[in-house]
Amino acid sequence: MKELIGERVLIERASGTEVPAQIFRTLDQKNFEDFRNRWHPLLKARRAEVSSWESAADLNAQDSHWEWVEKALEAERMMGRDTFAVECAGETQGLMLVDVGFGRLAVQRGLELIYVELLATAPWNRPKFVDAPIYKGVGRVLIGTAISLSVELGFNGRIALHSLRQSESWYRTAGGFTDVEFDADKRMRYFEMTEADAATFVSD
Amino acid sequence: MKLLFTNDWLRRRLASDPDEEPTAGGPSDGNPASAPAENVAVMGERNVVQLRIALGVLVRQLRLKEGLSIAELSTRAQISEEELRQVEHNPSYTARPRLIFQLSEYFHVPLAKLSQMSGSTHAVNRELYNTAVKYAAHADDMSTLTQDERRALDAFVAILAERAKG
Repeated sequence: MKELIGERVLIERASGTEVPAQIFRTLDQKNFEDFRNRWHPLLKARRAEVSSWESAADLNAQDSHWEWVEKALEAERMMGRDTFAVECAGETQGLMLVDVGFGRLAVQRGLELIYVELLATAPWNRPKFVDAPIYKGVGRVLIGTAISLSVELGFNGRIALHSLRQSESWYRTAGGFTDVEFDADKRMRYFEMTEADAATFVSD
Repeated sequence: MKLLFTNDWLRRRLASDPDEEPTAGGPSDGNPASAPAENVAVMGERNVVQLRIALGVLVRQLRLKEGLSIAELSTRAQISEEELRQVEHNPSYTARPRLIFQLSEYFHVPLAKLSQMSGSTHAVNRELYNTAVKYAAHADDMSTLTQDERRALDAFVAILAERAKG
């Protein structure tokens, strides 16, 4: 069942002002409808502008085929899986699906961590997707939420993910992740956050 | 669940963050061309039990092949003796991911296959399911491995390894 786990601010880019956003655990019908009626048509239209999945990175639209509704419903039936949503101004601004995984870095090899399987912000918040993105901070809020979940489950803040090409620099620099390797199976770079990285990420 | 970051922290970080919004996720979700057309089936409760029986047989036979007791294997693989006993004998038992990982590392059996056999994933490769159930059906619950069982065990492990590559 959907649960409000906190309220945090996002930045409205045009005015530079703060707006309140709600963070929820477990998606509900409202999030599904927002994805189907608001996100998906925009993603589909943008994706149709380019011929290959690789070039969709330039438009920030490589996730146009992600089936959030199916994934979220499937997650409800599976152990270890969880979904999160960020809402603001009555609309779903970001979505995240996580699972339990294991560390690959030498310092945490084999230790349980939160694997961020999918993370996306609404199309209207994405630079390159639109000329004037609306809110800033959705991705950071979701990564912070994944770290919080990791701590709650006793994984000490350890998280991991595969990054889409356009986000690699964010994870390396702003995110403070360790760039572990190029994962040949997924054809994406794989990043991990250690306990120490996580402590730095949420530190003042 | 408690969020470990404050609004003050967010304000400071967002002020210096680059003009991007991070995205994460595998291409098999986003790129239809790379999505493997795997022969998967969604499992019911009965299928989960059958796979766990096969997992129990597999772990027990791998242990016997090395001549180890439950206590010895639990020490070497750094897992709980009780959990190991449950995995070997109780198909209603849900093994923790950490235990499956340790067994995968110790016996060099692909983690993804062991996870599927433990019933922790919802969708399972049909071929794996059929092979595992057949393998378990031909095993006896003895304290030693017969030559036939040893051959069946080796063949099954080879199939698991082969599928992991493919």
